Amino acid sequence: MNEMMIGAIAAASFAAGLFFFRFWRSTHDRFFLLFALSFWIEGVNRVMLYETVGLNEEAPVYYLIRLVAYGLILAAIVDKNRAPRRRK
Amino acid sequence: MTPDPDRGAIADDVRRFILTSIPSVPFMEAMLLFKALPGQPVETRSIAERLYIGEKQAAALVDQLCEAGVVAPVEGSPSTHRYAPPADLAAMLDRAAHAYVDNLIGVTRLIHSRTGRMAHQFADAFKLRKD
Amino acid sequence: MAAIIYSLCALTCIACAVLLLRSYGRTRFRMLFWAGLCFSMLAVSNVLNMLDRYIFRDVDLAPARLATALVAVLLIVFGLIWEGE
Repeated sequence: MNEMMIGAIAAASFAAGLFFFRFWRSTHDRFFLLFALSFWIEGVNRVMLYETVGLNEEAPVYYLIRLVAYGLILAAIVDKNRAPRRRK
Repeated sequence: MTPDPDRGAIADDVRRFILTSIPSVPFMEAMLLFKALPGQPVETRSIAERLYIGEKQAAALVDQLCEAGVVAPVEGSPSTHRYAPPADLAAMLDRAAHAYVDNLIGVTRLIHSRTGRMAHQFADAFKLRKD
Repeated sequence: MAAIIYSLCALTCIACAVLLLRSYGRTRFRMLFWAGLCFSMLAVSNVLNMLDRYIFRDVDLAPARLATALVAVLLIVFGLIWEGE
């Protein structure tokens, strides 16, 4: 059951990331690229690490990659609020 | 990726307004009909006639315009409304109308751009300053 | 270290959820509602990570963690598809 859920999370994360990727392509706003990467990294993170370290989400590499993924979201928000009316 | 040749013609804030607040071309056309007679009562039936659409569709459009604050119902007359937006909305509608007249294809493409609309809605949510 | 990072993740999710749901309250764009729910559930998932490790040591919360994360991502995919109009 856990494997199924991980697989489903990965597939749905890929789909969500794809929507954001398309937003980036049509608006040229890197805000969306960061969100796309974040979802994709998290999806891949879960699958790859399940294969290697199992469900132990304590493993440093696991939560460091998650930090990167969420850091991208924070970066996107900061970036969006930092530049006043700059066309990207 | 070649840039859209129409992009330069529409100002950024008008672009954003069209993407977030103009849901369809008939909505824009109906708005322009009301705008042409500011303050005067307009019957939904005449909107239907002018736009060559059914009355139910016209009524739905008028409802949308009403909800958006563009038109207000006329007291005592059912299915009659007048163009009555608040000042800041009126200014933006003016600019959107001019953009539509100057650049029909560009604005129509914007209105039909579902991706652009959703993207702007999402990105706008993360703006901390309310501009 | 893990606790700090998962707390940060949870806070990021909560911030996103608040921004999205607040914007939904103002604009009524439904897609923002689903996205807001998504990040709320992701926040719950991150909190469950911490509970699993530090509080409920004898119970395995993995199914709950994964289920909330799955529901979260499904919610935003649903919103992006369904409200694409």
